[in-house]
Amino acid sequence: MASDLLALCGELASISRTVQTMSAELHARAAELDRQAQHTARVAGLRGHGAVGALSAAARACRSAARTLGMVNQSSRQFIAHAGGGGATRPAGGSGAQPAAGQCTAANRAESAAGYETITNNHGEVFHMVPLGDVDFSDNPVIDSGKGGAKPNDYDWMVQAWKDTIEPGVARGMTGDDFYAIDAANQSDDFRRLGPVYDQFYGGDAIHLSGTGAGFWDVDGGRHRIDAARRLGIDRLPCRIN
Amino acid sequence: MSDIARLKGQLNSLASDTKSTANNLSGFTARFGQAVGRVQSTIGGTSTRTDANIIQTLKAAENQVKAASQALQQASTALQRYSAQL
Repeated sequence: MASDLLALCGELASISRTVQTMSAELHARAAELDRQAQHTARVAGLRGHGAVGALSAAARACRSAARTLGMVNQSSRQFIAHAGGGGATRPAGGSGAQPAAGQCTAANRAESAAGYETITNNHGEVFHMVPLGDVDFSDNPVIDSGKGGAKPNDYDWMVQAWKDTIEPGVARGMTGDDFYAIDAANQSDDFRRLGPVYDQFYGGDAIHLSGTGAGFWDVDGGRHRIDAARRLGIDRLPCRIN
Repeated sequence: MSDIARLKGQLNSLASDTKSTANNLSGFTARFGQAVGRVQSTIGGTSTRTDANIIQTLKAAENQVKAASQALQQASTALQRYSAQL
């Protein structure tokens, strides 16, 4: 019986990983279909009515499937946690060593109750590594510039910089001060500075989510960053969950 | 190149991508259905709410993914038909 349960948890963990990827892909496909529907409607007008309708219907179906797959991901994690196969909160690290002040390290990563990996910064704030398939802002899509007039390419740079530099740096124990020091040494331009990128993911400007988590989270702040991550094929980001 | 000619090219490309996604989803649905079957055979006889919830969620997802695959196939067909008329 125990082996059956173990096998089941393994199966569900595998399903969870697969649906996470598929959900992100469907969200991206839905966004592309919506964009193309709008473009076709603009260029072709009434003559393109049938194609626009089919594109919009496909986008809705993709989004709906993505949300349901997000629920599968969530339910699978909950089931595994319930069955004792993992996902419950564990103590940080394994050595008993405390992270040094000012650090946000791999050593203080833990699994959250929701099944997400978490990172705690030096102020004790917890950030969840949330799969983007679990996040939804289709009722409030990105149509404007970001703060300070930041453009999509600025957000792309920011998110890629997080992926390439900030995340691995943080895992090695680098702090926000370290990234600001690099900016000062390089005399980096606005929108191309690493220190603010750190703040955008692990500081006061971090992505904010809220909701029940039953399948997907609402975005209270950070839509442009999430939108950019989806464009770049990045499937999870650190988020603060209220 | 006129806007219409450009649109025609974009629609043909999108129709091809959409069909490809639909086929991928179809393959995913088949694999997903098998996994759901294995889960159901393991816990199908039990009656706890957690077990019932997970099976219900998996089956709902299987149906939604099938619906998405069909909608993508229909969109691909509609795009090809419309593009041919341009």
